[in-house]
Amino acid sequence: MSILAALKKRIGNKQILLDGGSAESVVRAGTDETGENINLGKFVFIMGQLALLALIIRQFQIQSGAFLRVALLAFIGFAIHYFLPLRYRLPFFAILSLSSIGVVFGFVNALWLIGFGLVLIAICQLPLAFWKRVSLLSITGVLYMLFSVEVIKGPWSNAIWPILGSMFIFRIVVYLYDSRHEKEPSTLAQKVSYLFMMPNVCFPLFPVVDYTEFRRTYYNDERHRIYQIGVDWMVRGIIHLILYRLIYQYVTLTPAEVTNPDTLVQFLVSNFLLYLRISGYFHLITGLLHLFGFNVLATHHRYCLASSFTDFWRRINIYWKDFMMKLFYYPVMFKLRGLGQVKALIIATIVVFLATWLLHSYLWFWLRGRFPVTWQDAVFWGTLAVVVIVNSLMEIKKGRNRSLTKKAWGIKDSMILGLKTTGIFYFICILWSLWTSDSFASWASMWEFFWNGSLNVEQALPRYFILVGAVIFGCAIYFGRASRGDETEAERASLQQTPFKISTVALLLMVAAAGMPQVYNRLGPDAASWIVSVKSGQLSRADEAALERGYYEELTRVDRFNSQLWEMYMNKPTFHWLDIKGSGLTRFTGDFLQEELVPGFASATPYGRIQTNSWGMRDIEYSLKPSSDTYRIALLGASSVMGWGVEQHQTFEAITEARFNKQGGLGRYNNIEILNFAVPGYYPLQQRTVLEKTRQFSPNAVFYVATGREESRAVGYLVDVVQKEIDIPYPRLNLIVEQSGINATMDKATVIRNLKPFRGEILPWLYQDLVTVSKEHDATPVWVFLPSINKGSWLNDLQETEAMARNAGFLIMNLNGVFDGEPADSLQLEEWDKHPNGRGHELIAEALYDAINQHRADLLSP
Amino acid sequence: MTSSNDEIKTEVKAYILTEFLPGESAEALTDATELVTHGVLDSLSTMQLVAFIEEKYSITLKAHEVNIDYLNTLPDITNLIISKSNG
Repeated sequence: MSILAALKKRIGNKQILLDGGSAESVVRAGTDETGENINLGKFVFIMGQLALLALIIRQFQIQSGAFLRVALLAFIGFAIHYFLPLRYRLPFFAILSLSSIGVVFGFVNALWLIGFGLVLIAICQLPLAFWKRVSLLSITGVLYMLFSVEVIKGPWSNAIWPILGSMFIFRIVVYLYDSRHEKEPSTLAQKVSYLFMMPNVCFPLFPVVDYTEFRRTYYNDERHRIYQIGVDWMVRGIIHLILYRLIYQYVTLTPAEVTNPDTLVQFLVSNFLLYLRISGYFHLITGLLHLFGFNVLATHHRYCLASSFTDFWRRINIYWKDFMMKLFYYPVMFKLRGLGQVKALIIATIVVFLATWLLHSYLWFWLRGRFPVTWQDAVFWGTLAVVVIVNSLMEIKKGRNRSLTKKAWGIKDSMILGLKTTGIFYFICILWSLWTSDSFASWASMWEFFWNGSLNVEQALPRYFILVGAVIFGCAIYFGRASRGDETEAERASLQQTPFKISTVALLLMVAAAGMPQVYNRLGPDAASWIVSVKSGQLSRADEAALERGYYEELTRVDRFNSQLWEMYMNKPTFHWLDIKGSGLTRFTGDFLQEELVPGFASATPYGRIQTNSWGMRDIEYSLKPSSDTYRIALLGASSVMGWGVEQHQTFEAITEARFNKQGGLGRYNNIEILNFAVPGYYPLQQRTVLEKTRQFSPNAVFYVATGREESRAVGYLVDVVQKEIDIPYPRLNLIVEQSGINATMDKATVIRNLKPFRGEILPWLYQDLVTVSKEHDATPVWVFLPSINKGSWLNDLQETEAMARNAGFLIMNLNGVFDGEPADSLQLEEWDKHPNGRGHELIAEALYDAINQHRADLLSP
Repeated sequence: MTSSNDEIKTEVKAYILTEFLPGESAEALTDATELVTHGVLDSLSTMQLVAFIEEKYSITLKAHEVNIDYLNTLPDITNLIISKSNG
């Protein structure tokens, strides 16, 4: 080797060490410097897998459109990064991470986010005593909190705060702690890479990567092995997310649907398995980090197969556990070891779980602007603390099975392991269900069938309990014999073997193929329908209902990360989003209707002006009686019909009305008037009372606009009025209430459960009564179905509901399909608000115009 | 110094085998065995090991030294003890 080459190698090696690489990295990198470790075959193989991953991320709409862009940036960046000498790779990753922020937020907001972050990094570097730097960071943190909740406003987008919080609130603490004790000073590239690391910009919930681990594992193994592990983990993450969607859409139940042991187990297990979403994302994230040489450990390790509570704590969100151990557990243990091991352990464990609780709430502050303190959190973390303490004390007393070599396991050991794992699994499922419940009453009501005598012999058989238990039992025995470290080494070693790489590729090809319409349409309608629903990531029935409520009320449980809803809420502005409800638009009526629009109201919203006429309609002024040459339609509906988020002249009602009047009215009538009686938040049963209001306006037709989930929404409103003890002016409904035995003292889940036998009577009664009363007043009753912009579970009961309407005597105008052919995001107001925008209303108006013309004869007949 | 290194390593190895790996053969625990990543040293066993080391070698460890950098292998532990002993 020439002197110059030797010098270059020496400088390069020193740079590697300064960049946090291990001595082994120097050896491996030495070959990189001369390009000897570049293997085009392996590179192409990995790029091929990344191409399939990109296709799957796009097909299955993983996370968000922003993540697709960032993933593409990462994969293209990997292609460049691969050929760079080692000393340039970390700076390149740092630049790529900063660029990803620009890709998501745009140049200006990215600059703000990066600037705020760099201020925090700069404070850490100040030549001040540690406690002074901590104080400065704290003050700056408080300032940022004030920015985030808009106490102090600035020219930045508020969307940057959840991500800035996610990036810095924990990692800056770890960075500051580790930098105090680091053996080698860190470089700017390491700091920037760590604190701004991609793809954090797309994931508000992000694993707390340890800084020492981040540096220690950088290229600490053969590079292609690291990259392949990354690809494998990303595939694992995708599989978790697909399984999550299947469970979320098809297996989850509401507490009201739990009526026997099988549904109870279904509820408990599916509710816990929604955590696949988090583990899926975390595998995706850490897999992506592997592509850039960060050979970090897995974030989760078969958390369904824990054989003790301490084992569970060690398997689920391992990074969080390590973060707690480093910052809280060991410091407290060291401080208190004078009290004895047992006392120190108890106190340290309590501190860890208390810190976990508080820091989770702190995280939610950054994500949603609220600091939740709930009894559910207290019970969950408190119970987990107690069982982990008890478990730890038992381990101190009896020891824990550890081994470096695989030992022969007898049947007895296997049985014990299986039983313990199954027991722990069910306990965690129960605890998890309590944690995610809306109320203790609704959670407790799920268990009532055990003692209320409502089960027959067949219903009482715990089939699912046995089935799920058997699966967990079997898996525990099969997988439970290796320690975490052994498996990690085994997994890593096995990756060198071709069969595993082939299985990853096979899985990628299978999933990518399944996502293609040309393939899934050949699998039969059921399979195709499943795949479409999984691809779209649509909301479950329960979350669709919750989203609808969430337009009008602050949902307090959207901070449960096992709901897909929270992610949508993540993007919703914390304040002032169409804050109509609190602004005086509606008033309480004190009767079955509960509320109505205030006449003569006017206000500006982010989406234009909203005002009501003298009759309390969101519409232009009308006379009480129509003129003789005017055809009058009374339009009944809820927020979409009212024109939530659009100007009055943009509503489909106004557009349709204007079009008819421009083109000469309807039949013998020169004019048409469509009176908009819609009110945001109205449920089907409320329309019966609205119908009474329409009578004084002498409509020629009553258009009742139905949307999806008509039956459950009708039932839901009956539940609401019963719980609020509101008088029900309809004898038939009162009879149902009496026969079902429901009353205001019952929790919601129990009321819904008791109403179940009568569900099939409520909506038919409503439809029949609407038709009868309309015809009595010489108005043609018309049932107009208005679909949601996005396909969803609301489609499930459409046929049945339409048949009910037809049987009741409505004239049917089904506008399903009105939005087909145009991308959903171009028709809805925002990602978190699925109401139709101006273009959406145009399409509805066009369809309604055609429908009215098609039924002209029926509408005009006397 | 070398013999002191070997003595320390042997003592620590013996302690780990006795307390945390009963029944395991001594040959299974080598200089390359990763005690933390293999799960041999968890939070409980780590504190027990710390107590042993501090008492045996009259040194005081700090909380930040209880991590994978210092305790993952027998050589790591030995080096930590040596460096603390030498001040």
